[in-house]
Amino acid sequence: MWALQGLTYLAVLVFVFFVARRAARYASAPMHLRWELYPVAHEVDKEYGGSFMEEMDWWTKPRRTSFFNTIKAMAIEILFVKTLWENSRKLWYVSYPFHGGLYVVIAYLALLVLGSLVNLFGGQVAANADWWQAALYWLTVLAGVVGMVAVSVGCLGLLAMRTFSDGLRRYSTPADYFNLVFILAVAVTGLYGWAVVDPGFSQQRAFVVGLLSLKAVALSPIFVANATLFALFLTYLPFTHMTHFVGKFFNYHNVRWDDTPNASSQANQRALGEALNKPISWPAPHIGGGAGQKWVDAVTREVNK
Amino acid sequence: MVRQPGIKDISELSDQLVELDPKELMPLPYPYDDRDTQADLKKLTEAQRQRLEASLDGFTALQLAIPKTKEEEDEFVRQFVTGVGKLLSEDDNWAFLGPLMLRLDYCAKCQSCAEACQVFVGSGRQEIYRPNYRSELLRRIIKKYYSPGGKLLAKFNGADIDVNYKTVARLAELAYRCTLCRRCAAACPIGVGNAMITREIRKVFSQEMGIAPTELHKGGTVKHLATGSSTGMTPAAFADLVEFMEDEVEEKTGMRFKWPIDKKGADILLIHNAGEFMAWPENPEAFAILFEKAGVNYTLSSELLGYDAVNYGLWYDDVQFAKVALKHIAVAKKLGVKKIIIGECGHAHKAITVVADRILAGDNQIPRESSYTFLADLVERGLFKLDPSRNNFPTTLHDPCNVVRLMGIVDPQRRVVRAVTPPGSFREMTPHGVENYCCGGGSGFAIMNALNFPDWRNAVSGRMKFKQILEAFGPELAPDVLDPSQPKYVVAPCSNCKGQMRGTFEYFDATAKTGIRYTGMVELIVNAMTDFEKPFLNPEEEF
Repeated sequence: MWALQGLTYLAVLVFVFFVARRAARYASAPMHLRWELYPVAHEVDKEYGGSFMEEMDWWTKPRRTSFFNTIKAMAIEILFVKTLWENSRKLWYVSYPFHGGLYVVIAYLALLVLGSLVNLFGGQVAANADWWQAALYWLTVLAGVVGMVAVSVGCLGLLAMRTFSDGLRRYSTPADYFNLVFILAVAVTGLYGWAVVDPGFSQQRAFVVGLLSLKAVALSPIFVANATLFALFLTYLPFTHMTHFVGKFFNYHNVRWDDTPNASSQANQRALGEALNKPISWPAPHIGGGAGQKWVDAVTREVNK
Repeated sequence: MVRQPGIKDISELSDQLVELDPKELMPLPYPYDDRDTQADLKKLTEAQRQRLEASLDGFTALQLAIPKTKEEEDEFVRQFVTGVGKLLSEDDNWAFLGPLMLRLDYCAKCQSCAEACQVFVGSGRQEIYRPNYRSELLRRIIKKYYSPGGKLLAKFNGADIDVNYKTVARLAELAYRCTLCRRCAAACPIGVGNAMITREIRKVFSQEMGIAPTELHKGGTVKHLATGSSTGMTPAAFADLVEFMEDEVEEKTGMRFKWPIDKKGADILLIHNAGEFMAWPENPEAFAILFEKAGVNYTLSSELLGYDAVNYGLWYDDVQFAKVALKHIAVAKKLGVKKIIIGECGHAHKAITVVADRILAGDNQIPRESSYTFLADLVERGLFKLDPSRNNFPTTLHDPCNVVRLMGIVDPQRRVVRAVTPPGSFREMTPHGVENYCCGGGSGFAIMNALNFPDWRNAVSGRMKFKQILEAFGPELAPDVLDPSQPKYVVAPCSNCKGQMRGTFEYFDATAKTGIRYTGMVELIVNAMTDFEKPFLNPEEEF
């Protein structure tokens, strides 16, 4: 099974590297102009969507922001996909099992790793072991089954929506269907292995032990298929819009909720200096200043007249 | 509805992609509930059709001349594709690159945005107006030309779109079928917004190809920078108008006072949308009365641009936007004021306060404040003798998107309206506040009056707001309130929104049929003041 283990190491590396690269790309983008959208989560006592700009002479007063409010808004959005619930209820009924199922599958993977570490350090994660090891065993099984069932149900629902709902079908590309079928295949092979071959996910735990201890481990064909599909999916994921967990973070924190006034941000003032010295090549007559023109020239030429 | 084009149909070589049928638009409540008597949508003449690009939906916002040769068509496409590339440049598009990348990379095409869009729903769910239709076109064009493997994987990822003259020309018009209200962004589970993509498309046409609606560019920002106002008003004309308004205030109220202009040492520069001086002088007059009564140490400016707060660049062009914003700040700096207060103009609020914020360095950082906030403070400090019963008519409040959803100024204007109206007479629209619907005239539509575009604006983009207004005053709330003899007011503290309401109300003959009128907020305050014998608002005068 070295080939499969090698593929898994590679998949994890590709996933981490390219997801981090995506995040770095957004984090290092030039300072953009303010484009906030209310309600902004960190405002205090403004649940109706108000802002600091409702206060007279707001720039003379200390800014009140709440980290707790931000965390609360994020938690509700991440855990319950609240915006979809409010704006696209039908889709939520299939999207939530899918996303909720993914969270549970992630918990299952974490429990698998935890169980593998227990095994590596001489413990035994099994139904008949000590109470806490047995609990770990049953929790893993529960998370694995519930997560994969929910993901499968969600995938089928999303495929049905993309097929039968006019609005979704019109804009869905072959890639959108492929992504769902891919995820469904991972979940279904995992479930099949659990149901037919290994009701305790012991083989998968052993596979993770092998990964952690650099030892080859044999797997049943169904789990070979499952682990291969999972590794391939992990390799593919960073290159798709399914990394929207990254995009959502930046969309909310760096755009929608980024209301920091320039006057209070030295970093923004420095970034502005850099931005205005960038070259501009838009050629329309009202801009045209020829080659080598900088933004500062283009935007101040008429102002300084 | 005859047909619902798919995304690839944008490239088809037909004369017109979609024909709107007034009977298929979103139904309206009483007294507009008879689908067979819907007002017509004006069509272009055959001569205009021969000359101008209108192959999207038969309307034209840009009045683009149709190319005469294949070479001209190819050049048009080439320029557009080149410009799209610049949107992805850290140099050419530093101001919006970060948010744009997020909007290009992360749409799940879940269509949550569609039902949030007043244009899409108002049109009877016409596919080309779906917010994602336009955005997806840009995404696919970028995938085709600027993504690694774009052509190789074209069929798989949807980039197999034919980018021909029709595609680009229709996209140009389509960029002017969205009011940039950003209601769709609020509905997006991932936080992706279509309005920014719309604005980025407009930028390519303007900044790369020199194409923008005449009212926004040549007759807008260019005129604004050259003459001092997008209305064409010169400093001398402004001074004359102020004299006229001083006389009018005396006539209406008996108060005679000199309006402060270019007053050094004033605390505040008050800057109005110059359209108010021309179309609704009672608005700056009401401001003058209130500021005079409250003893505010302020000034108006007669400098170029100092008497016109608008900044149409916000809607289509970063460079023009920055020029106008910097000029406004230069005027305030010269006067040495402590802050700028923006009159009742929504986009001017957002332009100078929020979007321009990060282009203002050092001593250019002069504080900017909303007149809503400032007026709420004056009213609540008890500086005016108010009798709410003088506003004894039903009122509702329109939330200008630029001030409310995009700046979070939601409550001050409500406190003002409640303070100057009798209990029970004010009713909120549904929905309101940050969930409000755009008036339909956002992003410049309210001033774009050429050919048949106003009909599209009034019947389609303004339809949802009109429905909301009818429902706010409608039979379900108060059985007899749509009686035309009963005046009722939509308080719209934004020049652009008032312009749209003027158009919509005329189009639907709403004042005659329902008694609905619009007003700014300051007029309502002055109308409640007990200092004056005559009412300041006169329902018969305007309509």
